[in-house]
Amino acid sequence: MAKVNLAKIVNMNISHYFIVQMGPPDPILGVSEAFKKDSNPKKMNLGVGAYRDDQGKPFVLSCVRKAEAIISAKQLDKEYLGIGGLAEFTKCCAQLALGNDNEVLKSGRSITVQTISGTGSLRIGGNFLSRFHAGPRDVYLPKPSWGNHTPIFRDAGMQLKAYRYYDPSTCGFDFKGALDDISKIPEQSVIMLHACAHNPTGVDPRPEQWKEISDLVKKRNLLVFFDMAYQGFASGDIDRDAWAVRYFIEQGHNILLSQSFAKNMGLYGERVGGFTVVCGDVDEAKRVESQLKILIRPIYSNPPMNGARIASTILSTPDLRSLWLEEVHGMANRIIKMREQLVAGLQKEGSTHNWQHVIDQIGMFCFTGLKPDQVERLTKEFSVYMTKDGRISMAGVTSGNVGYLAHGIHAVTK
Amino acid sequence: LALSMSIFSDVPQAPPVAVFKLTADFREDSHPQKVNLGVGAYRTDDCLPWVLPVVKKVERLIVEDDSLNHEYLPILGLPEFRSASSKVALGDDSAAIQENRVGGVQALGGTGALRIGAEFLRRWYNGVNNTATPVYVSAPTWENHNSVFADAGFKDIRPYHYWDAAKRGLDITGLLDDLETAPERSIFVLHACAHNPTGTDPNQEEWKKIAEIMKRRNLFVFFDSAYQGFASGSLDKDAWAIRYFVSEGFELFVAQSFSKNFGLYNERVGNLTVVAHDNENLTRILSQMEKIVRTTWSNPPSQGARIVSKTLNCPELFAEWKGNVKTMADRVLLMRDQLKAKLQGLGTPGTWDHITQQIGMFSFTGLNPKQVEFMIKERHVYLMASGRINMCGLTSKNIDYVAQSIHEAVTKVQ
Repeated sequence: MAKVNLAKIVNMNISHYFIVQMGPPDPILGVSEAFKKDSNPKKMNLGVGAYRDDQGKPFVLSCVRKAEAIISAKQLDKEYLGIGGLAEFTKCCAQLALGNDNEVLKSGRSITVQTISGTGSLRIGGNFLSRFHAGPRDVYLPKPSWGNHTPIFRDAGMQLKAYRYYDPSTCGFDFKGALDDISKIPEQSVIMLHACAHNPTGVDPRPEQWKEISDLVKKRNLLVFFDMAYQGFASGDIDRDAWAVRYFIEQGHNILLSQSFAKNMGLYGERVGGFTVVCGDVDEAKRVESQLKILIRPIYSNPPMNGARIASTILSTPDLRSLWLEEVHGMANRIIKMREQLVAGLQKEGSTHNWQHVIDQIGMFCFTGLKPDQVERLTKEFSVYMTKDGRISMAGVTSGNVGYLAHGIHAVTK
Repeated sequence: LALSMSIFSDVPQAPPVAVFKLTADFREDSHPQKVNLGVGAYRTDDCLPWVLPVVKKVERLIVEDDSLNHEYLPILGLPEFRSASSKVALGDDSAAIQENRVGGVQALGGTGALRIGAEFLRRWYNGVNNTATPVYVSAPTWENHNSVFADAGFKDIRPYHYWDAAKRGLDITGLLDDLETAPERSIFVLHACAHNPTGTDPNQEEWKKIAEIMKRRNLFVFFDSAYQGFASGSLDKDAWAIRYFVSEGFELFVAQSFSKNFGLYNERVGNLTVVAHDNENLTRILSQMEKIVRTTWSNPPSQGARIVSKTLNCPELFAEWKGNVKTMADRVLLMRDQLKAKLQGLGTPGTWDHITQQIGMFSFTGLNPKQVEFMIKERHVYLMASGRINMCGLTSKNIDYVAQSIHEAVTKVQ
């Protein structure tokens, strides 16, 4: 241990500056920390939702590498972006979500700003609501929702409430419960909807169900905030995954929308995202844009270039875009295959439980239905790391370890 | 087709951020001799942005390295970046670093570092969630300082005496007086070097006096260090004040930016250096920093941090970088010398010693708002209403025109 200058210590004020408690470890990222420390060669990290290939390795998309080479050759400067970000990116970002021919984009009555991935987008949205939303302070989240939604909106100054969503008895959508709760939400409250591949359950409403939700939300005059972190990743088809968002806009909802390119382009660490507000008209969009800039500037001034440049190059270069669509499709397909293999594996183990939900659920995550004590056993006895709510990231499952996983799950549930 | 009256119909149009509006106006101006002395970004003598040669080199290494991917960084950022950044600020031989009580939080530029630091102080300093703690910023200061602390929740943001317009220098008496009379535990935002916008820094004796009062009166030291290396050309010289305060035993924050000294403006590379009382405090502080980061941007962007980290951690690249920084600093010093010489040559009324006494990117010319208006409207020389000019906007080709313009502004406009 380094020598310490006692004289300095005696003269120094004891730290009374910060009466700081130790912050609890992040429930999701804490899983990865524990996984790292485990020496079991068979260990599996099914915690964080980052895609892995069938060898369990991170996957850098070819379209990303190609885009990086193109960008590198251009030898661009590093001048500050505007507060709202790279214009080519925000245009592509909005078009991807809404569809190129969307009336909203043609009329110019929406504003999209580049954000620090999905988290940054949600936070800007929360800050914007906190400052300008005249309605109730409450944001209604589906029960359950992504763990970080609650602290994000709370830190933004909003309050959190919930509507029923997941039915543990079916491991599916509690449609009746959702409608029941939504019908009681006070007017002008904010309701958060996961556009596709619900996190953490993987349970999405069917189109007919979305239609009823839209009607009810309209009737209750609620402000819709879509979180779309998995466009393309859920079904493998970007238009299909954006269906709910586009339907709601068609139905007249002026929505707020958060987008992330972390998963569907594998650009996790580059922090690429967008925040969109669909407004009543062009004038309102301009006013909203000016206020978003006022919110963004005192957080980070302007967003990072690298990831946005990669994303916009891919989206606006036809052969890169086609390649991207193929690769997204490939990632989604591998996950679907793993779901099927996991269920087959469980059946082979002799499990008598109904595991259909593993196949019915969609996207990166699967709500296994495991109880906390079963999860604990799975971790302690089999070194399978997952969050306590029974959520597993299917992306961490490979053809090499799916059998082991089936074995472990069967062992703790038989 | 939109639903009932838009929820955001009452959102007012926000004024544009002044410095960006200035650049926008400059871009629209078609005058052949127009000059932009607004935004604080380095320009070559051809008035072009400059991507540092060492940055180009390192970027190529990164693009060609197939072993690198785009995975999430840890919440607090790239570890090698954080430690190298704090070392640059505190020095290779820093006792505080050896004592294991220095930590870093990778942030989005200097702005991001300030904001994370401000959020932490509002939650944990001088009580829990004490929004009433006074925050002092220099008069004048970078205009975003006010917004950063206000949006972090502080209700009482006050100016401390700094710029003496009459003598065109530091109002040290007023500054020391404010330190003596500020409520104990107040937070003071100090510019580590190259004060923005005045370019006027305390000398070493003055810093010692400032430190003495701050220690005696339990005032919190929050350094903003956006120009290390850029001011004098020497990293160590520019960090003298920070290192002095650390050696005096202060627990303090340093918001570091690598936007200017690495020319990485749009990659958003910054670091909040925390100097704590001891390792145990540091650990608790960083755990709470993680919670703040998680709801703001989850984890920081990787590209810029990789570039800086590779450079700082490799002796050859580090030496090359220091050379690049000196190139920039030297050109600014040359422009200062030449501008002063030309104004003296023209016999422009007033003394112009402050042009060479001031340091860093900016100079507070002393031009009043009417004279500034004249400069912009009649001469198409764009500068901030405060009279601040960016020395980097001066080149051997436009310096005569600018000197002549200043001469006319001072002689024709009162």
